[in-house]
Amino acid sequence: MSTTDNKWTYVLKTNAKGSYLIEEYKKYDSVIDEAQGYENPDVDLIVYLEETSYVDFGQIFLIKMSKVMIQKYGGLSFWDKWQDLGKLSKNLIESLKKTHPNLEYAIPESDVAHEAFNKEIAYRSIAYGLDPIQQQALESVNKMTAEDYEFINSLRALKFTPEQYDPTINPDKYLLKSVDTGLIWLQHKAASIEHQIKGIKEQLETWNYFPLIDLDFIISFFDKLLKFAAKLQTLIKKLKKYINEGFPVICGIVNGLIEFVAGIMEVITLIVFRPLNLAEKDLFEHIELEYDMLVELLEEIVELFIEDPDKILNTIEEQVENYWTKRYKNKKVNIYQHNYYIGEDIVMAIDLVLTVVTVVKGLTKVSQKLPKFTQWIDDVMKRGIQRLEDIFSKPSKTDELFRAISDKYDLNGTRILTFKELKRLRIELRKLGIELEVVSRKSPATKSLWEKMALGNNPEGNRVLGFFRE
Amino acid sequence: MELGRPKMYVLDEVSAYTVAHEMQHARLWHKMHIEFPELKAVYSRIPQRVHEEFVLSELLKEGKWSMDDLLKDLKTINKKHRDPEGLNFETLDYYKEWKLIDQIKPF
Repeated sequence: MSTTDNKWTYVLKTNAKGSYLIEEYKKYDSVIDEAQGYENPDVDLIVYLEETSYVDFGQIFLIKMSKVMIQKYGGLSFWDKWQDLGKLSKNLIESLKKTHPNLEYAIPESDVAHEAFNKEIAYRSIAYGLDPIQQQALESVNKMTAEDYEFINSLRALKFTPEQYDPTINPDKYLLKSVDTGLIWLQHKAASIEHQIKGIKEQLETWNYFPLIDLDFIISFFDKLLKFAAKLQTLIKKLKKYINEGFPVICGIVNGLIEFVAGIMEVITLIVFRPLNLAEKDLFEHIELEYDMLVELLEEIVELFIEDPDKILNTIEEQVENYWTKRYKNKKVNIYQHNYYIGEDIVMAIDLVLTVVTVVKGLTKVSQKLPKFTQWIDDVMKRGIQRLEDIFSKPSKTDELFRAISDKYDLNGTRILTFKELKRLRIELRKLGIELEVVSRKSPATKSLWEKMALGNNPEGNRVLGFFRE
Repeated sequence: MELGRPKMYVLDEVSAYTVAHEMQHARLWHKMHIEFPELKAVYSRIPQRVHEEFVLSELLKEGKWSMDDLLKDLKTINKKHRDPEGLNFETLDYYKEWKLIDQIKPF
């Protein structure tokens, strides 16, 4: 459908999928490229409108303008451009609402159209080579992969090195001279992380220079990350009592969190720079199908952060308090490295981290774009698998305890255990933290349960109902 | 029921096989909660099918139980767990080689 409005002619294109509209918008269009301009019946602009909202990145509303139109408005002074485009935006929105009443719910206000005009002029100026400085900047952006981003490298550079938590490598570089100095180092590290995230946020804000990137949502997410980093310092204070023995554990936790945050940053860079795939196709064309999954993932991360912002740090605190001293000993490495691995594993075992890891590893092309993050995941996973193999490959204390019980009660063949035996077994199992309830029709307390069990899926009447876990 | 503790229910006149079956469940719980508490989260992600398959494979390896009992457990696994998940029915031979660590993720 074509409508003439104030002598500029436009076409409206709608779709429920915002990513499709972005692709259409980026394509070269000979029809409007060859338009003769003002007071000519040719189509001068194409409006792209997403019919439903596009997650939290905002609804897609884009305008493709003819070369003649861009030259006309792009060449105006700042003030004239602001005024003329403002008027044009208002007229366009009014016209859209009039000619497409069925889409009124989706048609935005005129300030959105104004912004779309500004983006288009900036964007097409690059595409037409009208602005060499922007052109150069864009080319350098397009050539980058996620791992090239200096700010992510700087974040990773904050990680503790092995000699800093393991005195056997180089005692001079070992950071734990005393509990207090260890605490200072850890807090300094947490403060540096906060500072780094703040710097990245400021960097993101400057990226608004590039057209097509809606960073408001991402920047608000960074505000949450900043709060998270601030709370990390509080957590470190709480863990002070463990520093003497658990310094490498806490270093592992800090490094794990840095890697996790760096991984999220990489995901964000893939998402926000995707629409800038103009001249350089290599960067994103292979991840088109996986893009939506990344957006979903980021959505999920943000939702979880909003739902329970303290969950990650609370989980870490609980894990440190409950498990690290009881942890299976890895005899292949020294105690410092062993404890450091515990810290990294504690981070990996957090639900949110696992969610990110599972999605990223499931997206083959994305994984290739995030080599450092996936390498970290692979290393931690490999250790985890090795740990499981070590635990399950040979009889453990638990196996011995249960074997002893089994031998004591001569659990063999089809014989029926006596009630007395079951009572003794109950005492033995209770010592191991497991309850045993004998369900009998003769007992008033369990008669009703007995009936359920006997009438259930156990026609022979002497089979078990089940093993109930926590 | 005491909160935080697992509980085994057995009918009176329970057979040795049934007790042995439930004891295998209890053993895995104990191993992954008491002996290696860092595996609690891993344990919580093990699906019921894998729990039952673990028990059957362990009992098979003991080599002392009747074919009737083992086949009953196999039938339950195939019908109640594998079929709804769209998995192939398996034979006892499959569970002779079966390993828990092939079925679970380290985190």
